[in-house]
Amino acid sequence: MIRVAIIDDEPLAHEILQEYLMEDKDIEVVGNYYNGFEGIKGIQETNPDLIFLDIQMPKINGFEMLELIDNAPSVIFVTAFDTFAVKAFEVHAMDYLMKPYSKERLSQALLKYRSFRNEPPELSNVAYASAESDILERVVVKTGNRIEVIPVHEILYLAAEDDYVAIQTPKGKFLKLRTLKTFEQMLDPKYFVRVHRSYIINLKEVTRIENYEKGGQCVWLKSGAQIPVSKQGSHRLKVAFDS
Amino acid sequence: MKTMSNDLKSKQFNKWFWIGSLGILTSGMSFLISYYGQEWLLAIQDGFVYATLLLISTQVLLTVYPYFRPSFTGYKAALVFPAILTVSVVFVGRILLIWLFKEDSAYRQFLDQSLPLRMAFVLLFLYGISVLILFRNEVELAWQRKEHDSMTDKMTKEAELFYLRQQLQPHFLFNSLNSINALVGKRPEEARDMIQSLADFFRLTIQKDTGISESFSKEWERIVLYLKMEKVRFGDRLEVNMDMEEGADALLLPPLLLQPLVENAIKFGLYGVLEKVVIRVNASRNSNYLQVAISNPYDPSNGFPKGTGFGLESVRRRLYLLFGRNDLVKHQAHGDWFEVTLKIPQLS
Repeated sequence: MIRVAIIDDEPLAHEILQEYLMEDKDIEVVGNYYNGFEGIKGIQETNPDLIFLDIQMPKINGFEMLELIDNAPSVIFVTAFDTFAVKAFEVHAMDYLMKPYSKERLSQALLKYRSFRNEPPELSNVAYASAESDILERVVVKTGNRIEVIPVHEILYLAAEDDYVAIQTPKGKFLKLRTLKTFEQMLDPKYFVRVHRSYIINLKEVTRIENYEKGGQCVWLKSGAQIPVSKQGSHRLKVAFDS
Repeated sequence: MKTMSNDLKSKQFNKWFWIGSLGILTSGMSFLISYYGQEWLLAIQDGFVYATLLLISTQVLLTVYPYFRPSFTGYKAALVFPAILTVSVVFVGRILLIWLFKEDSAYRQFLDQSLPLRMAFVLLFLYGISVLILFRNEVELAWQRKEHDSMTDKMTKEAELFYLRQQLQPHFLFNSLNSINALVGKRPEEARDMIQSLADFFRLTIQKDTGISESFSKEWERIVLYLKMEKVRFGDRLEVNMDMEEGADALLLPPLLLQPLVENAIKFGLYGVLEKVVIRVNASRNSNYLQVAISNPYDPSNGFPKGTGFGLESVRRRLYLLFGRNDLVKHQAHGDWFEVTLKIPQLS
């Protein structure tokens, strides 16, 4: 028995999928969820083997939802956009169905799942940029049972902390299991600069830059925080402010 | 780079132009004055003072004229400015020359005798300059108008093209087809209805013979169809509230003007909040305007709806190009509502 959940914000998308799946006696639909938040909660409760996931959804998109699930099930994306296919396979999706899709195409996807199910590919932890563009626009984090959606312009600075990145915002600090490097690649270089091995700062927050005696530098942020600047960082900072 | 060097060139040209004019004017005046019996040295100084004053007056005219357009305000001002300047030039010239040649009473006599002639000369000169400047301004205006018209035309075409492409893109067409696919099995009547809406919508959008404006009833019909189809897709989550004042359907507006705003409302409403979404479209006639307000709920913590991109900005630009006004589009957020208000002037 394959236990399946559907996450899509359009009721009719659930209907057609359910209709197709019904004919397969081997499949049981254990949950219908209409946005990412319901999806996260539902998946934790019903623990399905496979999810059909839409990408464009309210508040958080399908990629962001996946980021927030521990031990995510196998995923088949179902969307009308063809622009996210590459990204979908980067996160090791099982398949990528484009609406409208035929019953045959769905069967193919399920066949693929069945042949892989005993050795499911690990969901990779690569950078998922926001679905809208390649530049990160918001970050989703989970603190306890709460999900925070942080627009990047609210980030004051990011600091590396062991395996995590601490995201400093006016609302407080949030931890995300990522490397600082992935953030450096995804954030808009016009606004975010890696000034140090362990720090990325938001340029709009900078109030002044101070020179130390031994040639080192540090930046002061509006929030009062002081961030050390490495030699390379000071060069990057100069380039960023000059452009 | 290219424009920069051009700028630089025109500045240098300007400098030489002024120096050259000063030289020519000075020598001309000096010749005249010496011809009437003054010493060369005296004549050159007198000529130089006058040439300088004339060029200053020219500069004044150049600065002043762009601020009034004879085609709007009539040519009265164009008659008055040079006259005032002439009196000032002759008056200031006399003071300066008397101060320069205090001791020379013969020259002073010559100066006072030649005043009427000087006045006539200056007057003619400044009127000549005025005609040149005004003519140049008018030509420039005509050019601008022509450019403006072709821009407006281009924007309309751009909008049409954009929508064609937009509607042939996945999110709308393919999602609609997916909805139809879902309906066909269980609710064929609704599927048929949706197919009809889709066809009507495309027909209204692709229509060829749209001019610079079309009747509001057409745009309204298009929006009704569009939102109806979105409602089929999103079901109970979307509520549409449309209201048109009687008589507004006969008013005019540029084709496809509202479509991007309605799409924005859907985008920021349905993807910005989790709850049920109500989209309101209100159209009314307000003195000489067609007034349309489109509102949707949004979440202020997402930040101000950005990335409206082509949407809001293009509408603003089109209206500016058509009516030369920047105050026709307003958007505001009150609480968790976002509203865009449009005023479209009715020209007849």
